[in-house]
Amino acid sequence: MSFRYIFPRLSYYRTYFMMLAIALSLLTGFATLFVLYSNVLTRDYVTTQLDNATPTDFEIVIRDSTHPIDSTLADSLQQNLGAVFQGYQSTDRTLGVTCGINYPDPFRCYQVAVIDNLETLATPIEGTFPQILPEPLTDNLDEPQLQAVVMQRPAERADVTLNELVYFGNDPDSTLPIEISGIVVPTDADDIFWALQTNVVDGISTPVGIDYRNDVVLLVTRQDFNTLIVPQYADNLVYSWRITTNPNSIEPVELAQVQAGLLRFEQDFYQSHPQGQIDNSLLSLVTRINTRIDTVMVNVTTIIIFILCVLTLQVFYLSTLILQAQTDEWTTLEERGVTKRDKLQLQLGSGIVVVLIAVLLAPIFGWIIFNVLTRLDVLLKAQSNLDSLSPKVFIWAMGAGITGLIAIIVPVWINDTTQREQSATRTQPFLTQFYVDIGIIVFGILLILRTYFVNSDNVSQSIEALITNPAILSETITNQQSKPDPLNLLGPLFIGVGLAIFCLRIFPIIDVVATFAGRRRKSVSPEIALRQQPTMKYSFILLLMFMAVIIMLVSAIALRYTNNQVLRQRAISLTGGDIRVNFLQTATNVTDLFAPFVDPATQFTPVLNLIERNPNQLSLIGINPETVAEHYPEYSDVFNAMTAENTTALNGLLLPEDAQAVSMQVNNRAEYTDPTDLQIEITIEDQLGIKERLRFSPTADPQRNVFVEYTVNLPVAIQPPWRVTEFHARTVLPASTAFDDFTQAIFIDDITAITSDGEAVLIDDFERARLVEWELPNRLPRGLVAVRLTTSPYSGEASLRIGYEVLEAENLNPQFNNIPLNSVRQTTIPIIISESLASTWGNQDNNGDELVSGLEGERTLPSGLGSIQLNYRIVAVTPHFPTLIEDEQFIIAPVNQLWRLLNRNSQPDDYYHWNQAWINTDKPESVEPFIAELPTLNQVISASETFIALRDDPLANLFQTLVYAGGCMSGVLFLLVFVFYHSITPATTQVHFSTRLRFTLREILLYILMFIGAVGVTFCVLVLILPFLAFFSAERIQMPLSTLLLLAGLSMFGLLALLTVLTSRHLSMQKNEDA
Amino acid sequence: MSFVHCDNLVKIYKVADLEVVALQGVDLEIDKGEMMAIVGASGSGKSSLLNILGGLDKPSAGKIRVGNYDLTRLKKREQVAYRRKSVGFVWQQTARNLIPYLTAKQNVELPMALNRLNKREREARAVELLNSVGLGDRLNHLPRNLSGGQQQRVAIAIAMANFPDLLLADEPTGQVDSEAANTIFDAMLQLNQHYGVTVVIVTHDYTVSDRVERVITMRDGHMMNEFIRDNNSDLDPTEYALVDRGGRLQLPQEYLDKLSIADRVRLQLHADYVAVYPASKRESNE
Repeated sequence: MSFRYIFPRLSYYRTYFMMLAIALSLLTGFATLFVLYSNVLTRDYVTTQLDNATPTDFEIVIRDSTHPIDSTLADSLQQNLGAVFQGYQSTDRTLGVTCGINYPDPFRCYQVAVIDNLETLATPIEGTFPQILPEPLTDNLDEPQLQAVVMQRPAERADVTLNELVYFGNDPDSTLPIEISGIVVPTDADDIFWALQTNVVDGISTPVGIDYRNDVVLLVTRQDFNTLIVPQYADNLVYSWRITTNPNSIEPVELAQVQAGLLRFEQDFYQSHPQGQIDNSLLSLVTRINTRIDTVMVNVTTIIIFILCVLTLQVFYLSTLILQAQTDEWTTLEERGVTKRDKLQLQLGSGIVVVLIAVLLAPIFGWIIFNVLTRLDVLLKAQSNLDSLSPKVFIWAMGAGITGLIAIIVPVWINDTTQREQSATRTQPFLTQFYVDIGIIVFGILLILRTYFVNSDNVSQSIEALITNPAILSETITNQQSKPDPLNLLGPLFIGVGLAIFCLRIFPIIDVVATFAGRRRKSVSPEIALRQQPTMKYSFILLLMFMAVIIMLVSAIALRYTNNQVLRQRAISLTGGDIRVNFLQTATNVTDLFAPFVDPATQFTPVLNLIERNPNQLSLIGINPETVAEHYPEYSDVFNAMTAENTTALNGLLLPEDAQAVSMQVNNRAEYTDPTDLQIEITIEDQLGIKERLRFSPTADPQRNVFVEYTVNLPVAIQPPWRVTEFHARTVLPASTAFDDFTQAIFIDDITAITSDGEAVLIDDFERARLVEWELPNRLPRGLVAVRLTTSPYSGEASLRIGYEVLEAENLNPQFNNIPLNSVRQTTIPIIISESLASTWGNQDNNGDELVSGLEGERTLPSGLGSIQLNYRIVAVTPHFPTLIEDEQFIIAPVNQLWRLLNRNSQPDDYYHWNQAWINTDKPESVEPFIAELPTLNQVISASETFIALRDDPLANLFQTLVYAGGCMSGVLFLLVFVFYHSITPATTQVHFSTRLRFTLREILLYILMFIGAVGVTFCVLVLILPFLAFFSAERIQMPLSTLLLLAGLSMFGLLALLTVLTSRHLSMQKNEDA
Repeated sequence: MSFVHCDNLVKIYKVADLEVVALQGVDLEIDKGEMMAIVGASGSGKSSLLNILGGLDKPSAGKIRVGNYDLTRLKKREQVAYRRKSVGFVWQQTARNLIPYLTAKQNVELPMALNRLNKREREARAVELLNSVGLGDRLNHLPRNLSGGQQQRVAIAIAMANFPDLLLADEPTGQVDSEAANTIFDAMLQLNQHYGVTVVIVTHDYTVSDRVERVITMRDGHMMNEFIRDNNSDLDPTEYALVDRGGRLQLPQEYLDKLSIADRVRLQLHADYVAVYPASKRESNE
């Protein structure tokens, strides 16, 4: 057939081809939409991830201890990362510490480091930056060879002073005298560079015995480092670059290129530094983002292909209908001797033109669909703008167009369009021949079983479980969390398609049933009406389309509903209540704190002090059991039990709230004859458990066997009063001391607090037997001393006597370590735990038996300040607690005890003071103004905001929104096809509406039966598919009532559609018969 | 040997479990260059016969040969070639005769194009054919710009495009007025005489017997009567009853009615004819 006929043909059938062009444009538009939408959401996701990343996530640190970093790596960075590469900071330092020839005096060690551009990074607060000194004339160690600066904090900790001469090196011959030329602080305290240089900024605190040695890093000039340090310590150096990148230069769409660039850079690095190390936080970040995107895109692409197949099926159907409407043309051509090849050529020519139009219109349609569906809240409102037209857009549009073209041509291939078709012997539909449908269903079942067994640990047990309890299959499938395996989806899809094809087998059964109805009424047999249809498969395709639309819409709505439900719960769980208030007060009774802001007209319940909560692990919740019981009377028994158990008295020596100093009398009686240097320290602790260690100073020269007053000033307490909880004594002896049979006794007496008005308040004079509060620690200096603690009369009064003796002298440092007197006893904390936690801990510690009320035990718990030891007694196990979600693992404890527990490892500048209150309220908006007035308010988070943030997570929504969009598009296309069908049916049947209506009413039973069959199959497919949707929501799919209503509505629509279509076809047959 | 030879043709349409017998053992001979008509009421089987003659359908049983083609054994490709070269169609519905988006000339050229005729030859022949049916001035008109009669004449020209041996016309004048019908018949007659094409017209209009040499009537899938006109005489055509291969004779209904012949007749063999008499009541009762 000549192509010159194509354009006249297109022009003549312009209405048909316009419909086909619209249908194809919807197909190509949806393919385009997928690319545009997934791109924009991916970009949103990447942008969010990059925005939420910490500055350290954009760092790359490379190290090598064998040789300096190759400077050409900067070119590699520039080449591989382009604008993302910002610069690098070179830092070289010695490994480990060197304590110097005078160690332990001072009691510190050193590292030497050089930081390029130190002048821009730090600012001297004392002295100056190091200078190059002239070469010393002598080897006198009193003459500095180089200068260095140290940071302020380690200088203070280690008592490093300006102009001090420190000695770097253990060998006197090679020791370098270094002059401290300045004390510096970071120019920008928030500079991420310093965050990674904690050794330099904070110093190094090294445990020595049970004491700590504070080491410092000496920062020298590059020249001094290269000439004086490198030659001596060549084998003991580490060279590093801290590479900074520019997050703003990372284009979301180019994330893969960034990842590839980083990998290439790593290759370059390892090539020049085979023994080097890389801490590539940026690569980890980029890889994590890309992996998540890839995981999601596997599922999304699978479902998109499925949706495109459904849309293609509809185009195929439309094309078939158009072919029917053109029967005269095709018949005429056939009668003229046109071959099938000629027909295909003619259809192909017309199709190519239509497809080209559709492909060109695809971006416009994609844009329109995106905007319409966004306005209808089907698609997520993206933060970014839609992409410009990338090749990928046209590739997908072309792919969809080619698929559509095939859908246009295939009907010509498979249909014999001559009008004598009705005389052909009716054969069984091809798809039901050879048991194709059964084969597909079996294959689908095998795929589902594969999913089940792949996710089962023990196959033989799994088979047994499957036989004894088939429902376990559904459970297993539902419980799988987001497995990015496309085969998981193919199982139900195969079964769905197989069942749909199986309908073709069911139809004859419906025929038989309908025949009885027809005979009974003695009307035109519905059976004949059906069987005489030459194109009954069209009705079948219509059913398939109808089912696909319903399945997609229901699935999308179920996914969205489940997601929303789960996310709402998760939002409340993450928030802790309807509102979470973060504040920096360490109030132990949050109810009081909130009381002034409570609007009596509002349902407003300050719930709990939340101290540490992590819904994925373990939440620690502090409550005041006495006050919280008022809010939750149903738990009053539990709280009363806790109150009864919460009797632990605060230990140690309680100081007055306004105490400003502490003094004591100390008598050092050592049998050793050489002078000893006695240092006395105490540890104090406030109400939150924040500890501080203070060193006493003697008010007079200490003498042996004489009481001397030692004093120390107290810092301001975070939450007074202070309590003295530990006592430390350290005796420093000369290096030459012989330790055999050494004994010493230290007497302490008259511990006194000095209040703000100068009043001396006697805390303890040891006249009473209070030794029970003073215990020696379990951990003593290694096997060296035996300590006795007694109260002994000394000069007629009782004193605390700390006596110790050396049992063996080997390996003893030339000083005695601390001998702390620990007055803190491990207290048992009454706790309420969740059933979930009782089960978990029971499995771990109690031979699998759940923990029950009354049990005692101990656990090491993680906390923000290191692990903590919890000695507990369970007062109640509760399945649920207000504001906490089901299955959450939590511990509820008296808040005062919990504070002290969590602050066991705290320091004055780093203690646990975060506090939260969760508020349950029906009207968050009316409560928020009151909360805003809360002192020390740090942050207010409402569950609704958290929910919106979770709901709008771009990638999490990509799948379900695209399924929803696919359902809508499929619905639109279905309507288009349906309308088109009815626009051509009257033309071909030439039957009046009234006639059609009369027939319709008479044959209604048949159609109802067919409808029931269709809906039944649809439900079967839904039941099969819905559990698998858990792969995308990680939760059991829930069906909202609205979805059921929608399904019912759609089904009614389907019923009407089917009625009309089948009746029309029936009447078409009647007309032909009449002819 | 006749050009068209049908031997005991049977056509059964099967719909569900029902069988509709359209042709019940039709025997038909048509000579080459003959112009004849098959007349019958709706459902008599004439269109089924036409479809089989045109290679558009296959008989359920029996034999049919057109020229050198044995239509019962045609393969798909041969069927296409047969339709393309050996047979032309003119249908009652003009929509089925013409491609609506092609001009009259293009429509005529199409079968020739399919037959791989070169363009110059196609154009020349199309013009010639359209001239021969009196439409030389409507070459570039689209079908919608032609009257019903003109469309049918274009259809005749199309049917003759590849100079087929057989021209089949199914109610060619069914949708036109009598004047146009005359023109259409004239055109077919002219082509029959000029090109020697065998013309078979299927119609329910008995008056067609005035225009063709031979008319065969059909009823219930059977050949009934045959009327043969003597072209040299103005007398009415002679009516013949057809005797099938088993010697069965079908009498026209009007004869049966007129003589009240019910279930049997009495035959009397004479030297050169057979006399058929209505059976007496007694004979009938027996």
